Order: sequence, then structure tokens, then C-alpha cells
Amino acid sequence: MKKILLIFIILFLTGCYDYMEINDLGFITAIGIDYEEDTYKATFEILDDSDDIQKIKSESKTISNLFDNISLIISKVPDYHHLKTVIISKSVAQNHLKELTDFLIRSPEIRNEFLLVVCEGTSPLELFKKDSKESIGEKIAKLIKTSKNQTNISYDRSFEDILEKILNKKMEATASVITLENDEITLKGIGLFKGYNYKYFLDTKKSSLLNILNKENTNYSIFIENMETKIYESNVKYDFKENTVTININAKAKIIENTTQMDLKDNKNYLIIEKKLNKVLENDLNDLINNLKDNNIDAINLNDRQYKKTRKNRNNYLKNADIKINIDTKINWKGSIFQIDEN
Amino acid sequence: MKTKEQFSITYFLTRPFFFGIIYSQIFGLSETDSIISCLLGTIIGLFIIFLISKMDYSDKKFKTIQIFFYLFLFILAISSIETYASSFLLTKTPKIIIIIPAIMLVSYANQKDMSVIKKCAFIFAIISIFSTIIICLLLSNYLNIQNILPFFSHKPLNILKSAMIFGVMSASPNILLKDENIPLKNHLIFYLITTIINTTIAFLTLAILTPDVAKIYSYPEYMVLKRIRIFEFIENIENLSVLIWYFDYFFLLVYIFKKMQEIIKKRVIFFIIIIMTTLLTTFFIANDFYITIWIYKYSSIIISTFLILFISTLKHK
Amino acid sequence: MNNYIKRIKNEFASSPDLVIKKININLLHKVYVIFLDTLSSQDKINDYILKKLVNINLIFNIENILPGGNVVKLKKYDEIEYYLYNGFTIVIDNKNIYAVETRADIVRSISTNETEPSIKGPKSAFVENFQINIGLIKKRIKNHHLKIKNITIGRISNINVGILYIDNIAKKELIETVYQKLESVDIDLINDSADLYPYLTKKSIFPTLIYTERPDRCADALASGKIVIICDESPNAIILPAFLVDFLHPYSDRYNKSVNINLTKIIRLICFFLSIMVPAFYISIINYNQEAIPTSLIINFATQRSDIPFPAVIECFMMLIICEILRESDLRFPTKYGSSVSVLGALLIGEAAVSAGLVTPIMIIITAFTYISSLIFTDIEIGNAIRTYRFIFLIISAMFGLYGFMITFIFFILNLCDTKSFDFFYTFPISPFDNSYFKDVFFKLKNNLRSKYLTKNITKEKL
Repeated sequence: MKKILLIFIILFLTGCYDYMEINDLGFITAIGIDYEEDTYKATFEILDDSDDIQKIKSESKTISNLFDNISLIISKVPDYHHLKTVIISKSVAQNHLKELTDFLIRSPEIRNEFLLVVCEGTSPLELFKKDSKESIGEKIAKLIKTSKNQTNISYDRSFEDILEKILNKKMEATASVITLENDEITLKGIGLFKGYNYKYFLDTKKSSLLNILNKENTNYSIFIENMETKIYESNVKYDFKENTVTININAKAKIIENTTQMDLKDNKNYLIIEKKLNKVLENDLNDLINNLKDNNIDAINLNDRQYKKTRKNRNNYLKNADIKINIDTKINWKGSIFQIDEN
Repeated sequence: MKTKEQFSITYFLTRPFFFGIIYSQIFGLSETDSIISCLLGTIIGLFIIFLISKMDYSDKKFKTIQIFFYLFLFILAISSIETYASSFLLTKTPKIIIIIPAIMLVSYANQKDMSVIKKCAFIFAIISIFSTIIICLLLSNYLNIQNILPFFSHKPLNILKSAMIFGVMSASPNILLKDENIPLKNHLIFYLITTIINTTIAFLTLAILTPDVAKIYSYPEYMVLKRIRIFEFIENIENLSVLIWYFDYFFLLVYIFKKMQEIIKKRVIFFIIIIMTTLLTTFFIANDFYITIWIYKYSSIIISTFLILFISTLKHK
Repeated sequence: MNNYIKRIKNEFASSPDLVIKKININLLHKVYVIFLDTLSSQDKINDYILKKLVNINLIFNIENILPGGNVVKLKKYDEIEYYLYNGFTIVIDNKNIYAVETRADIVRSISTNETEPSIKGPKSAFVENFQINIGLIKKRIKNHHLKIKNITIGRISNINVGILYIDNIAKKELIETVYQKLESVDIDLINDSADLYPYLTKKSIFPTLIYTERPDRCADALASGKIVIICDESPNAIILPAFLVDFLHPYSDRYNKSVNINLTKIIRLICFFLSIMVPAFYISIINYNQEAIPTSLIINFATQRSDIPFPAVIECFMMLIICEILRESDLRFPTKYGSSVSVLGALLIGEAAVSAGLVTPIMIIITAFTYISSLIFTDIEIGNAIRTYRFIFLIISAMFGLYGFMITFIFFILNLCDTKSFDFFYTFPISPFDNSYFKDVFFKLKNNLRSKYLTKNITKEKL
């Protein structure tokens, strides 16, 4: 019996098919994809055991050849487990997103926690031209994450979340948008998708309002006649009745700068300020909703919300519905001083 | 101590076919209502266990049906192990080399006494329950209950079909436990606890990945584990956490070997049958997707026909 | 009588330490005193025998004249050899043979124990004498229920072996099986209680008997229902049955505060598993499933590995074997020869090896960590068992990655559950789960009863 076991153990020594040395791997952290004149063009950013970060270009007519052509140039086996961002150009986002998502989801090596970012204005391949020691994939990911506390104009969710919204027919997907300004990567706003097709992007004001309505982070600054305030926390609720929607918002605001003559030690002044805030906010929100209605994109997912509460399957809900907004802000932070007096 | 050991072996024998076979079929048929079909499935499973306890083993026809039933469970388990190991852990090794150490380990464990295996099962049950609790706690940060609402929005026929799949596939390996003399009330409670743990796992996968996304994956309970992130430093631990599901296959195979060896008394014939079935599954079933998907899709129907054949030997009291 | 003397002179012809003294009491009565010089003490012979036999003219019954606590009357000639070699003096008087005990103390005095040191608690250890060892135990258990059964083992050696147990606590079947196993031993020579190992245990990688030098540990084991075997000329006692938890925690935990010591026990348990599994886990992650390593570390590892010509598996084997060689040389080398050996060893595993381009720094850290965690366990047998399993884990996970790691883990726990120590399961407080032994040894919590698995008499204190 033991001799048979020994023979079996000798058979095992011919194994080790999956053995991979760690310095044979090239870790890809960012990919930029563009589509011009019937070919896909891409740049890959690869980290390996040398000191520089390598940026490899490849071109092909199909997506799988695009990813395979790296091996013609670099001598490392590509490893996609540390992929941080995928930057696509406007032409890919408008027409070819479906093939790209199918390829990325189907391969088990790619972890779907990367960020999908759309690049407006320039081709994404130009972002990789700088000779720097910093990896662009990590830089964009951290930029989107850390900007939430100051200017809340980006969408910080992974690719799987975007996929959920695309596959669900009652929701529309959104993604962050970046450009190259003065040789620096800057955030621009939130881009809107209809199905698998990219339409346009909202400016900074409308992007932060969209984040408020979608119950993501809240950070919106309002300027009223010599006073600057900021809304930093909000609670949004939707009420659905026959063809009318009421959006109830409870928000908290802070006073950032005050050069009016109002006496902040008097408590009646706060009610006046709050009324003004409510009006300005309501106007801005109505602007956003009219914009969405004109372009027929349901970026605030009203169709899905009403389905979960009333179970009625409706198409084109946003166009036909009547939307009312009730806002209630309360100021509860004014800083260390009451006011600077000129007398 | 006896009750603790009986709990651990029922725990391991109800769990094996969840990974890869039950979850993906349930999520495909009844998307947001999978929780309801799981609860209905537990009731069906409890009823099946009640019927199993009334069965009689002394028929000769029963023994031939038993051999074919155990062989079918064996084929299903081995093809499941091969596809799961070769799609995540070792992608380039041929499937025959993946399955040989598993068969050697199980035949080594076959030579030990039953009492040793029960003690072993208790230790592994502690490890398995402890790790599932930690994983559920780590994943609870990403929950969003809005993803599961509304209830009862799909066809009732689909809900019933998925409940049947759940109940039949999870309760049928309990036939292997006929000789342990577990009292009926304890057996039902142990089965209930195991299915509660498994429905929480189904609930978590659905609530984190929405039903639309969970429908397209072939191993959704594995894809959920990719979201775990601790301290922004430890990530990608899905390959470690998935190893917990292997313990169930091990105990299922050990019990199948023991029961088959009681029926086929000569060792040489037993080994020839085992080796022929493993070669058959690796070279014809697991390497050809046409047959693999057919077996996964219709496995619940085949097992329920076996169960009906078994139940027909009930003595009328 | 002359026949006896002739036979003794023939049999002990070339032993120059045999002394035969002839005392003439009167013209017709002669008494012979025979002893071995090396094993008997002259003072006792003078006091007990010679002083009383000189100046006497008539003896009726020599037994009433000889003082001394232990005087045995022998019936056959063949028993003379046994008593002579145990230090007795033979007095032959008219075909009556008497043996008087005059044993010399060729033994070292009671010293502190070296293999199981402790800061608090008693420090005395066993010596190579049967009576002194039993005396040390009996001083701690002053109860008439403590019984001893004696067996002599060895055709040439005829060494005395004693089985100790407490009558109303230990199980009777256990005592019977131990007695039968020791009675069937038929060998030439035993030197130490470790020679009894193959007769009391079956083949297994883990040790199933405890060797100890401490009498307080033996007394505690007797009080919970275990059996102690003491062998003459051996400073180690055997305690059986033994379980895995007894080897993981040293006995001196008993004398420390329970709240603080529970944390140390958790650390020891984690170290037991880490010391077996860390090299295999590292190899399977570096070579098969690289995604589990965080991004910030992976570039670091890749740069370290790019300068090394060997694959990671061979590096690991080399480092582990070098550490084994270091440990062996440390055990054998006497400390008086100087400490340059440790300097040479530190060179091999240190900066010189890294700068020569043979090993990566991370591999040195991993081997150092495994060895430090295995040095927590003082018993040598556990260290050897851990080493065996460490190599098995390493070989199989070098071939199959994390899948092989899991298969070996199942194999390891299956083997642990399979070892038995006298028909008691080795993973005792966990797998046949027992509340009171768990609270006593595994953690230190309040416990009022003895364990049911070992004894039927379970009350020991006022509840």
C-alpha cells in the first residue's frame, strides 16, 4: 500500500502549473482607453520592480487584442488585481461602453472595485504623458475621495455600482468627469448616462445638488447678499401620490462669512436668513430638475423609488410627473465670532 | 457531547450544494423574492427530513437505489469541486491533478473510525461558524435594504420552483445520517439553524449586490467577498474566505465512502468503482460545458426522483 | 554451608569488590557475612551486623540479634543475587540465609529542576533514587488511599518500577491495562523511564505521555485521576493519560494570577498554529495567489526578490534547515567552550546573508518568527512534532498553493483527533467537550469539580 502512495507522490512533482514568481508580474494600476478612426487605443500604467513607472501604449481593432498586445512590448505578465481607475474618452462612453463592460466583468482576475472616469476635452492618453513618480491611477482615486469634504462634485462609487444602475431599467447611471487644465488633472462634474450611452455632464453647482438628491454626501455653498453659507448635512424624503412627487428636505447650514449689518445675537435674524436660504435652494433645485426633464434623463431615479413604494410600473415618469420641493434648513453653526463691527 | 457532534455533522451535510449550484439558480429565478423562497424551502426541507426518519432500510431494492443515489451525489460533488478550484484558485492546472489529493485525503480518512471523524467535525464546525460570523459582520457595512424591496413582485411559480430547489438539495444528503439514530426533534432543530445561517448569507449577497447584478454572476456568493476592505489596507481576501466551503465537501465525501463500503463489501470492487467515476467525471463531464450545465440545471429534479423512489418504500403504519 | 560459599566464589569470580567475612562464634558455629563493597555502606554494616556478632559466644536465633529495620529471610539460593545487587548484606548461618539492608547512598542531593523552571512555586526536582522520589510525592499526599504497585523489569537490570494511583479517584480499568502492559515487558536492560515509551504508546507524531521532574505536578495529576509511573535510577516520572493542552501550557501557570495568565494562554495557542503554518502561507501567497498582498507591500517584495537567484521555495527550505542545524548545535555544545558559536550562527542568519544576495530580508523575518514562537513550548517532543508538520505544510502548499494549504490543514486536524493516549482522545477538552478540565487547564477559571472523563468521583471542594 505504501509503495503505491510513493508512486503517486512522485507523480505530483511534475505539477506546479500555476507557479508564478512575483518579480515576473507587472501590476497595472490605470488604463486609459480611446476610440479613433475605427481602432481602440490604450495606455497602460504598469508598476514593477524597477524604479520607474512604465506607460505602455497599444492599439487594436478589438478589445481583447488591445489587452493582449501589451505582451509584445513588455516582458512581464500582466496582473489586474490592483487596478484602480479606468479612464475612457467621450467617444468610447457614447458608443462602445457595452463591449468594454462585458469584457471587464467576465474576466475573473479583474476586481470590480475600480473607478470608471470619463475624460472630456482631451484624449485620456495625454494624461499619461508626464514623467512622474506618482501613479495616476492612485492619484485620481484619491482625488475623487478626498474632495468630498470641500467641493462635493464627484461620484465616489465603484464600477459595480455603476453597473447596477445600468442593468436596472428603472435607474440611470452617473460617473465622474475629469479634464486636463494647465497640465493638471482637475475634476469637472458628474456625467450622465442613458442606458449604456453617455450624454453630457453637469456643472459644479448642479453636480453637488444631484449628490444631495441622490442621498450621497452633502456640501453646497449658497451666497446671499454679503453672506456666505454652506449646507453640510441633509435628510431627503420622497412622497409619491398620483403623478405628483413631493421632495422634503431637512438640512443643516453653517455661516461661513458675514459682512451684513445683521446682529447675530438676535435670534429673529436667523429666521430671516433661513427663509432666504430656502428660496435660493428651491430655485437652484428647480433649475436642475428642469434641466433633467428637458433632456429626459432620470438621474435622480424617481422611477425606481416610486416602484419600490407603490409597485406600479411606469415609463417616462420624470417627464409626466409634477414635482414639488419643500425645504427646511436650520442654521446651527456660526463659528467663533458673532460679527466684525465697523463702529 | 453527543448532541454537539450530531449538530456538526448535520451542519456539514446540509451545506455542500449551496456553493455554486443553489444560490445562482435561486437568484436567477426569483430575484428580489429569494428570501421568501429560502423560507419556503426550509419548510419543504423540514418535511423531507420528517419523511426520511420514517423510512425503512431493510429492503433489498433499497440498496441498489442507494448505490446509484450515492454515485450521483459523488459525481455532483466532484464536478463542483473541480470547477470551483480551477476557476479561482489554480487556473492552469489540469483538473485531474486538482482532484487527486482530495480523493487521497478522503480515502485516508475512510480508514479511521467513525468516532474520530465526528470529533473532527466538531472542531471544524466551530471554525466554520466563527468565520462566517466574522465575514457577515465585515460585510454588513455595505448593506442597502432598498435593494431587496418590494416583496412578492415576481411570478409565484418561480418562487415555488426555487423553494423546491432549496429544500430538496439541502435536505437530501441527510439520508446518509440514517444510522446515527438522531432523535427527530433534534434533527429538525439542527437543520433549521443551518438553513438560517445560509439564508443570512443569501440575504447579504442580495442586499449588497443588487438582484440585477447577482443574476449575471455564476458564483455570486464569491463575488460579494471581493468587497471586504479592512482599514483600507487588507483587501482581496476572497480566496482565503472561500476555503471554508471546502470543509462541507470533505465530510460529504467521507460519509459517501463509508456508506458505499457498507453495501459493497469487497474493497477491490469499491476502489475500482471510485476510480472509474472520478475519471469519468473529469474527462467527460467537467471538461465539457454542455454536460456540466445540463447536470447543474436538472440536478434538483434527479434528486427529487430518487427521493420519491425512497419514499415509496415507506411502510404504512 | 560450604557449598553455598563455593558457589558464590565461583559465580562472582572476577568481581574484586565482593567481600566474604568469616566470623567464628565458637568452635562449632561459624557465621559468614557477604557484601559488595561498591553498593553497601561500611558504617551501616558495622553498626547493624559486625558489632553485634563480635563478643558473642552463643547464638540461638540470629534474627533477634541483628538490629536493622529490614531483615528478610531467604528461601532459595537464587534470590541472593537480587539482594546482593540491591545493597543488602547476606548473613549465612547454618543453612539459614538472611539479608539485611545496608544500602549506600550513591545519589546526588535534591536540586532545583532545570527543564521546567518557574519563578514562583516549589523548586525541588526528582533524583535517581526510588525511595527519595516516592518520599517527595508522599509528603504532598498524606492519605492512605495512595497505593503503589511494584514491578521489576529487565533480565539483566532488574530495575524496580512503581505505579502510583489514588484508590478512590482513578479508574480501575486504566490501572489494570497499565499493569498488564508493564508486566508483559521482556527486555534486557532499561536505563530510564523513557525506555518504557514503546510499550505504553502506539505510533504517533505527537507525544502522548508527560515526562516531568516536578513532584508537585505529579501530586496534582494524581489528585485529578491520572496515574504516575516512577522508575528507579531515573529522574523523570511519567504521567498518563496526557492531552494536547497539557503540553501547550507550562505547569507554573498555576501559581500566577488568573486574569493576567488567561491572556498569555491565548497568545500561546495562537503561536502554536502560527509556528506551523506561517512559512507555508507565505509561500502560497507569494507564488500562487498574489492578490492577497496589499499594493503598498507588493512592489517592496518584488524589488527584494529581483536580486535573488533562487526561487522562494528553495530559499525557505534553506533557511529552515539552517535554523535546525543551529538549534542542534546549541543543544549539544557545552557552554564552557565559549560563545563564538552563536556569533557564527547569527552571521548566517543576518545582514551578511542579505548583502551576499542569497536571501531576502522578509524570509529572515519569517523564519525568525517561526522559531521564536516554537521556542515557547519547553517540551522537546512538541517542538519535533511541530517541525514535522511545518515541513509537510510547506511541501504541499509549494505544489498547490492555498488549495494545498487547506488540504494539509484538514489532514493535520484529522491526525490530531486520531491520536489517542490510552483510549482517551488527544484533543480532550475541546472535542469530547468537558467543562471542568477546560476551565482548569485550557483557561484558568473558577472550577469546583473534577472531570467526568477521567474519574467518577467528581466532587473535590465545598460547592
